[in-house]
Amino acid sequence: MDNEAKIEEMNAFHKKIHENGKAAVVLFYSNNCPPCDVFEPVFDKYSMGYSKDINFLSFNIKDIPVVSERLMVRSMPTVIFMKAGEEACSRLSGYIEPSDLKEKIENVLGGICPKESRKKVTADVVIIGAGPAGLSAALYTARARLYTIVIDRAMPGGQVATTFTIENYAGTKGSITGPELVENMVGQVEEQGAELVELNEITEVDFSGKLKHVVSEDTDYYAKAVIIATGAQPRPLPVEKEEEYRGRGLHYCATCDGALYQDADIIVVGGGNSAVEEAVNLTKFARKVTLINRSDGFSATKSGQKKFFDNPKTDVIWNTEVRELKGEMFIDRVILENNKTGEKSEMAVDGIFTLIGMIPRTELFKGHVNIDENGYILTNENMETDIPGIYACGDVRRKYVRQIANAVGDGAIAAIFAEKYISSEDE
Amino acid sequence: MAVKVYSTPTCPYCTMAKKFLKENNVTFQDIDVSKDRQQAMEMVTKSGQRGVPVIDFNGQIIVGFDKSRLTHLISH
Repeated sequence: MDNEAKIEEMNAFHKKIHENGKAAVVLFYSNNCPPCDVFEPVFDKYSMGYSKDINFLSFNIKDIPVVSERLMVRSMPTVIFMKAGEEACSRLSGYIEPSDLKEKIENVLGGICPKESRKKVTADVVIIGAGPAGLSAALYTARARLYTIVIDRAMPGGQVATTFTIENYAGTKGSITGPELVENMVGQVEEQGAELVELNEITEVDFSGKLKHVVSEDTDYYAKAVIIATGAQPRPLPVEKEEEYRGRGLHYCATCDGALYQDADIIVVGGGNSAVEEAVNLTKFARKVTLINRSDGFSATKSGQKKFFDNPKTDVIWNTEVRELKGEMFIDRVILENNKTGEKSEMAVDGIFTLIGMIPRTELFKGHVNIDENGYILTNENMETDIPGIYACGDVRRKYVRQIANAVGDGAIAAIFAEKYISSEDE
Repeated sequence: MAVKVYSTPTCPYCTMAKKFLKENNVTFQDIDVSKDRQQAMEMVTKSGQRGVPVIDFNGQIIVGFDKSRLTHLISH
């Protein structure tokens, strides 16, 4: 669309909503949107009651894409209140309570609009975390025609988003890059009508009511069921000055920062799949990659190990741990200790990539659902936590195997039981 | 206003930062430090570290995708 057409659409919109100078209640809806269908008769009813004082207009967002984008209309349906060309009061979206609509209309008309900057959205299912588990759950709940919102503190994909290549996930042509797999999953989920909210940190939850409350930095979400899929974060290297050296030679994301180590000598700490695979990937940039492993063997798969040992740029030091980080501005050497002999040695390095496992992201849920001594959420095999209507799936749960394959499986199970729970509660 | 984003194509936080700037109508120069060594060195000198993204927002250096700091700089 050229610029002129865009301006024309905006102007036409403003002209239309303020015809005869009145304030306006503007409804944005989309096709295939269950809460829109529920809300339409409510909107019509109020439009009859109040149309003398305020204009009621409704638009399918596909007819006014420019306006929808400019006004950042993301949830369907959304009701916006406009007064003299400006947005007034805060908007309503998702499953909208008739009483909320009435209150807002009265406030706009009375000119007493309490300044609320927070939004309120009511959904069927809120999924916290958009990694493979959360996205898989969303795919199922959205296909069950439940209004689904997936919220992520960062970008979708979780740990997969920062993985170079994945070779152990079925249904790919042998291998797929992490970002590509994420893109596929996100596309599939959005296609089914789930809504994805990125970059939104959840600050609080309250699971005590029938409607569960999830508080983010700018929005209050309410849902009949909540699926926790917050995953895990890298375990920090257990040495002094760990925080001080982050980014100054110490890294946790090889995919992100590996390219900054062209022709460098780097070490990778760990011995599992991630460590061994990323060590091989880092040889694309580095001159030499030495793996520091605390035992005398890798726990990584045989095929991963083969690639490692076949690569001329890799090396390994067994039974050894990093004890100290040293260097002025950047790490330039480390003190290693052989944990069998106790012998210490110094090694010159340009950078360290640490891949020694993960810790669950469950700080937010402590005291709300059952969590084990290591921070993992306890569920049964239906992904149910001890609180009805609250589910957990993926790396955040206590289990033995943490792979993309079973994260996706967990998500599907959580969604199916969340759907059952919602339909039994709705009866 | 001059905004530079030092990034690598495989880093999701870089994508996120760039997306955030675009959404806020901030025009910026995108620098792929995996391709350009000289610029990579410039980034290390400016930020005193080697993690991406680094954002040079009118001379203010932001390491990582710090949304609240960016929001503050954009609105002032």
